[in-house]
Order: sequence, then C-alpha cells, then structure tokens
Amino acid sequence: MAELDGTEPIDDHELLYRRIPVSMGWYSGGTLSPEAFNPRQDELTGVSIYRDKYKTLEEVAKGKGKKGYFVAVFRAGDLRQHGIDVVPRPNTTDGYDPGHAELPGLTAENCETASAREKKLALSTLAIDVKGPFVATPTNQALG
Amino acid sequence: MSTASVSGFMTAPVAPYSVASETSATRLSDVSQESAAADVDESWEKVLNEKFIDWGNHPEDFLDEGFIPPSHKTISLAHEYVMKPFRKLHIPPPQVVPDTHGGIVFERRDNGLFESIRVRADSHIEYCRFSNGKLVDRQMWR
Repeated sequence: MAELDGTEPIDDHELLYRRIPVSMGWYSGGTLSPEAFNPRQDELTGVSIYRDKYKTLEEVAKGKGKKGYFVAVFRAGDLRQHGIDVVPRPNTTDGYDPGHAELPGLTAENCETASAREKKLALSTLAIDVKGPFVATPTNQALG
Repeated sequence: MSTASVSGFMTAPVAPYSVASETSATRLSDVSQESAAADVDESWEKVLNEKFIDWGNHPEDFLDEGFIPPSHKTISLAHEYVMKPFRKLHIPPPQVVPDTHGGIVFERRDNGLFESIRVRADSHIEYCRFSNGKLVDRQMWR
C-alpha cells in the first residue's frame, strides 16, 4: 500500500476541521456566522481546512490568538452535496502539511460573488459539531 | 439608507403589548413595555461595549489572524446608521460580527431566511437577503 502523503483524494466520509478564532465572535449561541468562512487576504487558492486523518483537534486549534479557537467539524460528503468542493493541498506557504486541504470555490478574489456568499452561508449550517474553545496555556505555547 | 427598505430587520417588534385602556392592566403593560424597551437598550449597550469599543481598542485580535480590523470610521458608521436607528425603534440586536476585510455585519436568521446588513470598510452599506440558501436580494448604499 502506498504511503499516505496527503495527496490522496478526500473521501466523502472524511471529517474536516476549520479553525474559528474565539475573538471574532463568529461562533455564538450554537450558531456559526458565514463570516467564519471568509478567506484571508493570502488565501488566494481557497479557504484552508484540515483533514482529521492527519490532524488532531488540538493541532488544528493552534494559533496566535490569545482567546483561543473553536474547531468546526464537517463531513466532506456534506460539503460536496451542497456544491462545495474540497481538495487536498499539502503544499502550503508554510511548508509541506499532509493534513492541509482547501475549499477552492472560496478565494480572496471571488468571496464577494453571490455564489461565494451562498457557499459561506451553507457552510455555516453544515458543521456536524463545533469543538472547544481551545485556549493555549503557557505550557502548550512552549511546546509549540 | 432607508431602514424601512430593509424588510426583515424591521419586522421584529420588541414590545408586542397593546395599550387598550386606562386600566391597571394597561398600566402594567406600560411597565412591561418600558421594561422590554429597557432590555433591548441594555442589549444594544452590550453590543457597543463588548464589540464596537473592544474591536476599536484591540486591532491586534484581528491582525494576529491575518484579518483587517474595522476602523474607527467603520465602527462609527455602524453605530450611526444601523445601531442607533434600530435602538431608537427598540429592535433587539441581531448577531453582530466583524468580517475579515474591516467591515461589520449585522446578521439575522429566521427559519429559511437569512439577512445581513454589512457596513463595509469602504463606507458602503450592503443589505443581503437569502431565502433557503439562495441570494434573492442585494442592495448597496453609500
């Protein structure tokens, strides 16, 4: 069996994780805002998402935010049923990450279109769970 | 922007009490009405303090994530053109969140309907309405 390196296609049953900063208030009262799925300025090829088969929730929840992060959990097949494509993208600007994937239909350039707005709204309803918040402790930060 | 043209946000009265006559029940409903209006006012005050002021004072929360924080001008526009009219009409605050490009979004969900009023970083105000996930109305004002 070939060694898995994050380039293999994402199965419909795979779970995917999206990190949501607590500080932005995008997850509140059990509801996700579509704004949680807006691409950053540097997300030119798609919104980042992570594969459960390579990443733990805690690994996905690491970031600079002092208030920590929630992690929204999706099933790949649910996204595809709503016209939201998800593809493996292990080559990132921060190096090779087999757990990295993208939603190529949502980019920094197209995020204002009607289609992108509808995709973001759909994403806000498709999470099967939201975990956290995960807040970094000084010990966690030291371990990196 | 005419708030009257933004349908869904305007159809949620906060005080469904009717003042029918000068009875003690009416006086009680007056008190209830005042109490409900006070609750709405307190909710908006919370939005002002916990969101608008906090966002203005802590841009690093946005910058750390690679996002653009709302400017003081955008916050001021959101306060003047959305918060104040809704507060005056005793409409409870919807969900209020920042976007990633320096804007502020007021969001409301009701069954299959989703509406947003976005105060953009370029000072435009945009209204969107989605019905069962489809964008059915989109308007922009400056």
